[in-house]
Amino acid sequence: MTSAAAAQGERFLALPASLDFEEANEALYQLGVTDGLPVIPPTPDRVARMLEGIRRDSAQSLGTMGPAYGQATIEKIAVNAVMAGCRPEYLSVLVAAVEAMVEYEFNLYGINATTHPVTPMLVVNGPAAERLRINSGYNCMGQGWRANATIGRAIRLILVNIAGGTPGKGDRATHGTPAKFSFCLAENELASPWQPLHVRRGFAPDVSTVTVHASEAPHEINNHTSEDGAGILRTFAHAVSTVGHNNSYLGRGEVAICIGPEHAETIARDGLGIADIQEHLFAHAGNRRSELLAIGRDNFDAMAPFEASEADPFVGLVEKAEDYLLFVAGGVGKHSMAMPSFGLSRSVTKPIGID
Amino acid sequence: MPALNQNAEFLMNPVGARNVERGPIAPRLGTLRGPTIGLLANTKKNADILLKTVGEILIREHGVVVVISRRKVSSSPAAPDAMLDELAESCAAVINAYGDCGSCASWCIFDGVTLEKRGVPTATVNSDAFVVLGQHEAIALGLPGLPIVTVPHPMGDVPAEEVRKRAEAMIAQVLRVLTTEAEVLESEYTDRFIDESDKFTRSEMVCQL
Repeated sequence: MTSAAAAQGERFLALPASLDFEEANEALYQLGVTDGLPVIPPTPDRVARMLEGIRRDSAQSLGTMGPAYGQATIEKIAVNAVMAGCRPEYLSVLVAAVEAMVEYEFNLYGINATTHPVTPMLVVNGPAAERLRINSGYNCMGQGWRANATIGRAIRLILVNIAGGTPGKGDRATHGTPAKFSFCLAENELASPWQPLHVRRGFAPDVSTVTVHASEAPHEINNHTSEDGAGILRTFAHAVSTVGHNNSYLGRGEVAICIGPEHAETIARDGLGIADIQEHLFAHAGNRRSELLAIGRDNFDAMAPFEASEADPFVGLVEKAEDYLLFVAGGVGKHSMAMPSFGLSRSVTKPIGID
Repeated sequence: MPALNQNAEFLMNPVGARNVERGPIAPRLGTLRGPTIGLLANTKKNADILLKTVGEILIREHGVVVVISRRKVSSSPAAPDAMLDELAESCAAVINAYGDCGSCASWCIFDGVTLEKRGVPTATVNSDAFVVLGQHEAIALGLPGLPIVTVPHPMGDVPAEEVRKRAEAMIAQVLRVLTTEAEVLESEYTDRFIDESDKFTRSEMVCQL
């Protein structure tokens, strides 16, 4: 089989399963199917073991993924999961994440091909987080936990291999972002004073879900000094108010904030809930029209409505307060993280099958 | 599907199965004298100026009587069905501009393919830096012969006067893709940009594996 046949998505590669680790990795790297790091060679035996992690027909396709519109079969997801180093029990998270990403409103076609430095951020809720040991505490966006690292990595390999997001070809990211290697964490539901994200989205607390958000790399929000929630919220609004990201450019989309447990406690101590935080951000995060005009931005008719009759109206970042996607995660410390988005995308939450 | 342990000889392919169907582009117009032409702008900076200028030239010099201008709410995702319905019903051809980034080129091609599959000949415009991506996507969407009109990249940081010059320079391509026989165009455009991708790719921006 030629590399052209491999590129059309045939079931097997023309590479013997008996190749040693180094030989297999060199060949896979040259085919352009890795993320640049060594991968676990996807032998049929390993893929078969991976498929034992889920009770689904391996030939079933969850849909096509752009820009190449490759078929996302369970088996193809499993092959990429093997390469990423996933355990079989992680497969159900990947399947749910793919089900979320193929929803039209997520706009995977745009996200995978765009010049913007975007990657799907996966936020896991419910019992699966503990069962799979998906980190939601210290360093939950960093290294060190197998589930976070390999689930996020498998998502990237799926976007390259199934969807055709090869850098410089189907993926035209100007710079990309380190978050494209892997970006998966769980909500720290135990450390949150509020309802978890999936419950706010209509799922029962004991249902596990994955939410995908078309995310920029996270940006720190430092507030070591405020004694009240108002100070924290002011810092949140300030941190995301720039003319330089896609939400500002487009005047729409969602902005995610991962609220550190200490910030959450300070905010909740003042009796403020998720809706209060969203309302505050909706009212205070954004820019004056004059600031936008100063950089030549005049696509106001495409943006969310604002008070155009004012002398220098305030132009927000999103269409409605609920477009601030909030959840709690992290360890001890007075930090939160802001994730503006691609903009022309809606986050999607899907249940994780219990198989 | 055969069990995997019966095929233990080879590594498995992580690449998803791709579309291999290839459909025809829409029949082209005999002439531009008379018909209504649609201009579909995708909100990218200067797309409106480019299309307005093209529309004026088509009316002034090529016999087009009416142009209809429509603007997507945003460059991504697809144009709404109602907008495409209206263009398909009221226009003999559509000029669709433009893709000058990853996501907008993708959805610009998508709209062009949708219109072509509905029988509307379309001049789909990409900047030359994104036309290779655009052609790959046309193949993925089953229309490898989609004619793609190119403009120089970048388009977003040039003054209006330069945009109008580029519109004038692009007219010959527009006329050609709207009035040349479909089979001729298909053989001309199939793999055209992919085969010449070096011409459209700035090598200093691509690091080889």
